[in-house]
Amino acid sequence: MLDFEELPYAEWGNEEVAEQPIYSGYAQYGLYSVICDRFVITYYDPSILVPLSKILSSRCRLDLCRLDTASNYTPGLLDNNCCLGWTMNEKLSFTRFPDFNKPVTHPGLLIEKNMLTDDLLVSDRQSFIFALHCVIKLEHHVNELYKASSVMQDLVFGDTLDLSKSTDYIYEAAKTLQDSIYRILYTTHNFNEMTQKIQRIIDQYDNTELTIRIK
Amino acid sequence: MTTQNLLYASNKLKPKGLDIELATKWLMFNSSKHIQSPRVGVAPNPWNIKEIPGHAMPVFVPYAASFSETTDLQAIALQKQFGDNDLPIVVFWSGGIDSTVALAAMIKNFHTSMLDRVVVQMNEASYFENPVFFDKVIRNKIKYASSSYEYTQYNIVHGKMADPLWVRCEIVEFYKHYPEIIGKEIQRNPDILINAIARENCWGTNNPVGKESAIWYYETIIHNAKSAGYDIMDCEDFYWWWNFNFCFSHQKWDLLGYEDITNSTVFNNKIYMEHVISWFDSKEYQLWSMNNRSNGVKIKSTIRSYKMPAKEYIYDLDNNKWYRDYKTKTGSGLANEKNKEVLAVYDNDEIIYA
Repeated sequence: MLDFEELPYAEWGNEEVAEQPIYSGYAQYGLYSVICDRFVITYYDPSILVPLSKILSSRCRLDLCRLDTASNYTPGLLDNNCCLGWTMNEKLSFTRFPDFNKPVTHPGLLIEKNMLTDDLLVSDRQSFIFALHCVIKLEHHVNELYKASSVMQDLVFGDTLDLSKSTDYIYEAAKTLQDSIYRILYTTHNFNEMTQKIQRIIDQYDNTELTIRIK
Repeated sequence: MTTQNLLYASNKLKPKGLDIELATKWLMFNSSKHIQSPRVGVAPNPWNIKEIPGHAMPVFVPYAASFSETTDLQAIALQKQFGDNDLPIVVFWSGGIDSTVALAAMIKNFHTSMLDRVVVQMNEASYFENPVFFDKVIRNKIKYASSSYEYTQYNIVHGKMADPLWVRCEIVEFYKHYPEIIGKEIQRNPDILINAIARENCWGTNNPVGKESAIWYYETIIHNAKSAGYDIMDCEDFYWWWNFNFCFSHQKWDLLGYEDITNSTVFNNKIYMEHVISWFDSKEYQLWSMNNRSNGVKIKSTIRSYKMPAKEYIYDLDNNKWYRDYKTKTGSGLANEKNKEVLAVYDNDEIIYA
């Protein structure tokens, strides 16, 4: 019996992540779960998957793999609707920490396996991973908006056009915003509490350009 | 002149006047920095390492207590032992499964006054490995620190010596890559295991072990078990016996190279043995291990199930489902860094550093 105490993550972002398009010609990455022995999420942008695997590192081990290095890979071969039906054929040392920044690449990387039929625990946790994926994407988006709008404000309203100084400040503030959000993702397990805390952080920036609301 | 007997040897200690080929062959299978030596039974022992006095493998007797009950018993026994002095009890907590079990058992079983003496020795890595346990169980409830200790002034508790009670952790990789060996009676069809071992790489190299060495290794372990009165059943049993008989003792000295030790003004193996206690070094834990061979308690063919009774024991305290269901075995470190490599320990309490 599943315990959905961390709801509403199960619905949050599931559809969006599952239906991500596969871009032909783009690299495709995936996070492989050692415990599930399956890929739990795929995406084309490692700058989202790397923080995702780091944020989840105290909860489950996820290894970053570059799926398009597999000899049997074709665009559309696996996506987030079916990645639980794929496993990795590369030997890993399960007892050592994964290298977050170095994806596993190998021609024999991908092997199809039976889709899960009864392991609800895995699909439950996959939903949580999808939801975190959406939050990290949102954080990137907020950060970019903040940087862009701050530069604009500085250009229009600033007393000085010493851009090197103001840009440093803006990037430092953006990094602080990112660190704050990642800290919440890392330490908070209740999803409602997590999203509320992040919303409060974003609100603190009090920027009229930031009209994003967390669902 | 007093004869010294070797109790521990690093794999950097060169054997003197021994069969180099045999020693080399033996080293091929060492997946750690220690030289493995059998506690019981017949086996090549190129370094002639002796059993630790007072730490013999117990004689098998039926033992019905569960892992959880055994852990509670150990907490009660150690609480009694710690009552003999009033030194602080420093727990080296890495955030990994074994040291978290030790800490959880103290919290569940120790009296308040005894718990007041407990100091969790940890660092950032401990927190990153298990932030939930820290936030829910340690923070604001138990003293914690990341500092250096003069060992003679403390009771030090660590979670080493747990792994040999379970099954050699390499089995989780074997089960993924060679699922055909799960549950098979290997002595009727040894090729299945020998071929799997032969395809693995020698420790620290990219060179496969090869068939000839795999046969030597397989026969050495099987022969050793038989000579000690144990009949190896399946792959899990094979890896359990290797771990339990060959790897238990040397983990006793795993903290010997830590900086606190070497900062001590007077230090020898006697002081170390008196003040540094492995949580899992008990007759009861060993009997639990000997009574739960290949019965699905230590591992049930999946990585998730590895050490599940220990994870359930922790879950009982922190209710962390992620840790229980998704925590994997990792090579976690203790709170302090090693700064000296131990080459050998002798039974006259002498310690030789590299």
